[in-house]
Order: sequence, then C-alpha cells, then structure tokens
Amino acid sequence: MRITAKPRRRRGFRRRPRRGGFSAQSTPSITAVSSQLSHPRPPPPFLGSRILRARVQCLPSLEVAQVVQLRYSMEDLPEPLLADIIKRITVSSDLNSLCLVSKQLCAVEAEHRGTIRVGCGVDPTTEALTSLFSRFSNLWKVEINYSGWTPSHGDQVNNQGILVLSHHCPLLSDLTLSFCAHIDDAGLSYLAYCRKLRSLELSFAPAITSTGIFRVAVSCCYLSVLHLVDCIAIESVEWLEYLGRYGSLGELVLKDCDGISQYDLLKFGPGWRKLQRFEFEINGTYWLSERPDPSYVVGYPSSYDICCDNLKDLRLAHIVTKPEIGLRFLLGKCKALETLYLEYVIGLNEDEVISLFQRCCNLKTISLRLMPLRCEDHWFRTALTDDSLEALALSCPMLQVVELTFTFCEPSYPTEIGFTQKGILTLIQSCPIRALVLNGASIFDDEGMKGLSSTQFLEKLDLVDCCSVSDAGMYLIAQAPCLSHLTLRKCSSVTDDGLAALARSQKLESLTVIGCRRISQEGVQGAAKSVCYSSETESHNSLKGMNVYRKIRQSP
Amino acid sequence: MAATPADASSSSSEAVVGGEKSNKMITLISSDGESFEATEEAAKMSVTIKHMIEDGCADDGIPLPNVPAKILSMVIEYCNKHAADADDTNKHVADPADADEDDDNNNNNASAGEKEDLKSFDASLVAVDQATLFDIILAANFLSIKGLLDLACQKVADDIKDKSVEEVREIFKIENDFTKEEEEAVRKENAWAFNE
Repeated sequence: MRITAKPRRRRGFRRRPRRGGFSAQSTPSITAVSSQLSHPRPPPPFLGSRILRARVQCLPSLEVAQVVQLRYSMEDLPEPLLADIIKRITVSSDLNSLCLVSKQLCAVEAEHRGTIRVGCGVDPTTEALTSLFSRFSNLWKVEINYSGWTPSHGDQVNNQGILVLSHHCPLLSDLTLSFCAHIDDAGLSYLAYCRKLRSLELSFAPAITSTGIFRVAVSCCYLSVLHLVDCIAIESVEWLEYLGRYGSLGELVLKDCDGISQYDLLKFGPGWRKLQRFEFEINGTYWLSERPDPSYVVGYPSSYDICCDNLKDLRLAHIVTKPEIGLRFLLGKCKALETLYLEYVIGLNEDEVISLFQRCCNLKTISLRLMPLRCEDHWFRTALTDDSLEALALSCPMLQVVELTFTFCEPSYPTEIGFTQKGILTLIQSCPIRALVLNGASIFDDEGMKGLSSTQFLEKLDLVDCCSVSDAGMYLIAQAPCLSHLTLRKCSSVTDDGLAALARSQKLESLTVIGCRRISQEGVQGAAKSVCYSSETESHNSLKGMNVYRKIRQSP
Repeated sequence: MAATPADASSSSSEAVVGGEKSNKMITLISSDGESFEATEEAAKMSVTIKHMIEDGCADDGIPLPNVPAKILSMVIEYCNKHAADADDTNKHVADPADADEDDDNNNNNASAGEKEDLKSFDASLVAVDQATLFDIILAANFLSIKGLLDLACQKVADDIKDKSVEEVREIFKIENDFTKEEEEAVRKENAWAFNE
C-alpha cells in the first residue's frame, strides 16, 4: 500500500541539514548525499504542513518555534490512509460527527461506507434517494425496514426507490426489505441491474408474488441466499424449479408463506444437492390446515430420489408429516448435518431419527421441541424415547449444544415425556455439551441437577418451566466447574435461598431470571457479575416457541 | 531528539539478538541528512527496506528522503522492539528440547508478560501530538511497516471516537468548509442512514 501523497495547500517548509551531524570518517557516499541536501530544495511532498510564518527555518531555538502557529491537518494525508483510519470507526454517531467535519472527510467516509439501514424516517422521494445512494455509491449491503410504520410517518419507499438504488450502487450484494408494502414485482425486476446480488431477504412483503421472485432468480445468477418470511402473495414455485436447475442457492428460509406447501419444495429437485441451510416453518394451527401431497398413494410410502449431501443446517418447524412423508424425507437423506432443529414436527419416526443420528457424526447442535401424541404402541407420549438419546450419545462425539422442549406434557403423567432423567443425563455425560436448555422437563429434578453438577464442559444452562428443580438443585449446580451463564424462566420452585448459594460461589458471569414468582429482585443481587431480572410472566407462546394464534391465510 | 551515530550504534547493539541472525548493521539516512544504524533484522521489518537490501542497494546506506530524523528514530525504536519480540517467539517455538511441561508454562508466562510490555511500549510510542502521529503514519506507509501503520491509524481512530464535530475539528485542525445549507442536508441524511 505504498502511495505517495498529493500535496495540498502546503506552504513552504524548508529545513537545512544539520551541519556537523556527521562523523569525521563519513564515507564518500554519505558526503555526496549530504551535498545534495545542502541545496534548498522543494519540501518533501508528504509534509503538507501549513505554517503561517515561513521564516521558521532561520530560527534555531525551539522556544521561538512554539510561537509560530503550526497547522498540520489530517486532510493532508493521502486518501487511502484516511480511508484506513475511517474504516476503524464503527459507531454510527462517530461516523455522523465525522461526516460533518469537512467536505473532504465526508466524501472519504461516504466512499467507504459499505452497509446502510434506512427506516421510517427516510425521505422516499426520488430526489432524496438519489442524493443518498449517490453519496454512498459503494454500498454492498442495504436494509430497508419499515417495522413500526404508521401513516403518520408519510409515504414509504416504492419501486422507484429500488430503481435508484440499483442504478447508483453497482456493488450491491445483500438486500433486505422488511414491511415494505409498496414494493411489488416491478420493483424487484429493477434488481436485474444489480449483477452482484447474492442475498435477498423479504419480510412481510404483501405485494410480491412468485413472478417477482422468478425475475430475480433469472437475472441475478449469483443469488445464493433467499429468505422469504410472511410473503402471503407467493403461491407458486416456478422460481424454485428454476433455481434448482440453473441456480446456485446455498441457503433457503421459508417462514409463514402460506401459499407454499411442503410438497412444493420437492420441485427444487437438483437444487437440494447444493443447499447448505434450509428452514421451513408455518405458524398457526398448522395441523388443521395442512394440504395433502398430490402424488401420495395410500399404502405406498414415498421415497424421493433427492440428494442433500451438503445440507449442514436444517430446521423444520410446525409441519405435519404423516401419513405422507413430506419434508421428513430430508431426515432420511442427510449425512452432513451440523445443526438440527425439529420443532413440533408431527409424524416423527423414531427409527428414522436414530439412523439419521448414526449417519451425521458431525452434529454439533440439536434442538428438539416435542409434544405428546398417540404413538404406534398406543401410549400417549412424545415421539422419541431414550433410544434416540442413546444413539446421539454414541454417534455424535462433537455434540455441544442440546435444547429439549416439552409442551402440553402434564407433570403428573411423567410418561408423557418419552425421555427419562437417566437418559438425558447419560447424553450430557457422554458428549462435550457446552450449552443445555431444558424446557418443560418436569421429569428433571434435583437428582438431575446433581448429575449436571459433575459435567466437565457445561458453561451455559437454561431452565425453563422446570417445576421440579428446587433450591437444593441450585446448591448442587453451583458446584459445576465451568458454569458461567444461568437462565431461569418460570421455575416456580426456586427461591431466593437457592440463589444465595450461587452468590457465595461467585462463579457466574451472567444470571437471567424471568417470571419466577418466588425469586425477588433483591434475591438476584450479587449472584453473578451481570444480572438481568424481570418479574413479568411470559406467554405460553413465548415460552414454548409456538404461535398458535396466527391465522393461516389460504388462497381461495 | 537528535541521535548521533554513536547513540544509534549503542542502542542498536542492545537489540542485537542470538548468534543465528547476522549482526550486519544497516545505515538509514533521514531527510535532513542524519544517519541512523539498525540491525538488518530490525530494518527488514520495513518491506521497502527489505526489498532494497535484497536488491543490493543497501550497502552504502539507504537514503529516506521522506522521513525526518525525529520520526526515523521512533520508527527504528519500534522496529528494534518488535524484531526482538518476534525473535524471542521464534526461539520459544523452534526449540524442540523444551518439551517439558513446566518449561512450556514458564515460556507461556514469559511471553504473556512480554506481550503486556510490548503493548505498553506501543501505547507510549503513539502518545504524541497529532502532527507527529501523522508523520509516523506517512513514514510507516512509505516504509511499508504494517504493524506500525495499524498502530498509528488505530490511535487516530480512537482519538476520533466519542468526540463531537467541533472537538474533531479542534484536535485535527480542520477547517469547516460546509455552507449552512450543505451542512443541513448532510445532517438530514445522517438522521435516517444507520450503518449497522
């Protein structure tokens, strides 16, 4: 990065070489150099100092030099060095102050600004947006987020805004549009000018239909990340077929797009091979409105000929996968999973899950949210038993994060939870588990806490709706060697006394307590280096990760 | 802070390390004609000088017309300190006989202490007035010494953090060349352009 400076607004600044600064035995070459220097020559280009009195070179003593007003400005640094300094400033308020200091600094800062987020306050007129995007012409990541917008905020950015953005920011590669009601397919078609578009995230975009997504898929050949959240107008998946055959999608997230069903995802075909991250979620009373598989034939279990060898992150939430297999086919095909989230997937088959665990030895994070159902053996319980936990313990030596949530399980009927406390403890003790979440685990009591207290690696523990863990359990967990973060939500049997044990051990970095009716604000003081307390009761949806009240909008 | 050649050679003799490295001294000549001596190893921390040495241009001393004496002495001080540290790290890593666990712990503790030492040296080196800091940045850029450039640029950035517009102008001696309308327009845009 060797760049010579452009001299700017400099006055003359001449210095004579020090006479007598060389030893008597100076070599001929040094003398030659010094003779060059003895001629007064133009100042070295980098010294752009502005000295108001040019006579300083005649004044040998320092005291007089101090009287001279030396103005040496940051603006005399060459631009790449200014950019290096400005890139190290990351806080918005500092950058805003910097922009207002002088025109040059404003220009350099704007040239190197890479990401921007605009919201309700932005002026949506074409002139204002043109001025904004031509000022920041090297943006690669843009977010337009109208969350919280009301009519009193004025107009929203519309399709013209996207046209202006695509013309002025050729390096745009990540675009996120949230709650933008006035951007429709025509607006998305302007993204064809953004040749480098790599990631598109649409949240609550009611005006975007599948045509718009199809246009983006065809014109932006580098598209590799696509998130569609609550896009109710998307009802067909030609774009998905296209991306499967000709695209290079690596990450696909579909949430609450009611017009897309599980079986539409099969049309992705060859695209599954390249996909690394996939999420599918439909909130609301999904078990009542699931559409059937059009190719399902009773009595012939489906087996899709799809390869998903590169899938590393998989999340399936709130889907019904029986009698048709639906997206559950992924569980039969994945080999390289590292993160697995199965949340309220109805129709899980334990044998299939066990063989999945046996194939995916790189699994690092697993989250299971389960509710009890009538099972094949006629028991009313969650679909998985200790056999699954055993398979995990034996086959996944790199497992670090485990989250187990049980919903609608009655504490007085402990068999509704298919796992036992012993099974859970065996898993924790067999794998290097760093973080554990137990939610609704009424089978987990103080004996279980004793088992946890001897684990070698546990750093983070979340106990949510665990009614069987009491103060005795807290005394025991205070002895866990590595525990540094503890969260208690709706744990009705823990009182201030239990936290006193934690305060005495002085080991915790952070403690969060929410909605535990027998723990007071005073009780948490001093229990950890940083404490967060709230007495508010959380809703069932928030505790269990469901949203049953969402109304599913089906096309007529 | 004019270093005579005698001073330069004594300070550089403190920095001479181990028998493995050559003790060849390189002469560096500042823009105002003063010459400084540094070990070849320290001098090679500057990629510019390293290339000149490799091309064989360094035998008669290297003139640096862009770097005044005051700054060159600070740069050499930085290079000496960091070259010595790099060599110590290499010594710890390269010594296979040190397989003993206790020795390893001692080495780790020693290098942790040295790191603290280095950090406080770096901090005191750049705790100077703005003009000198900019001179250091320009010299480090010209000489291609990445560590020193990062250090000095980070110091300037840290000086800008949490300051108001007026304070930044005051510290860096910058004139305000915005008109009222222009300033108002920039302020308005800043209000709705967040950067995270």
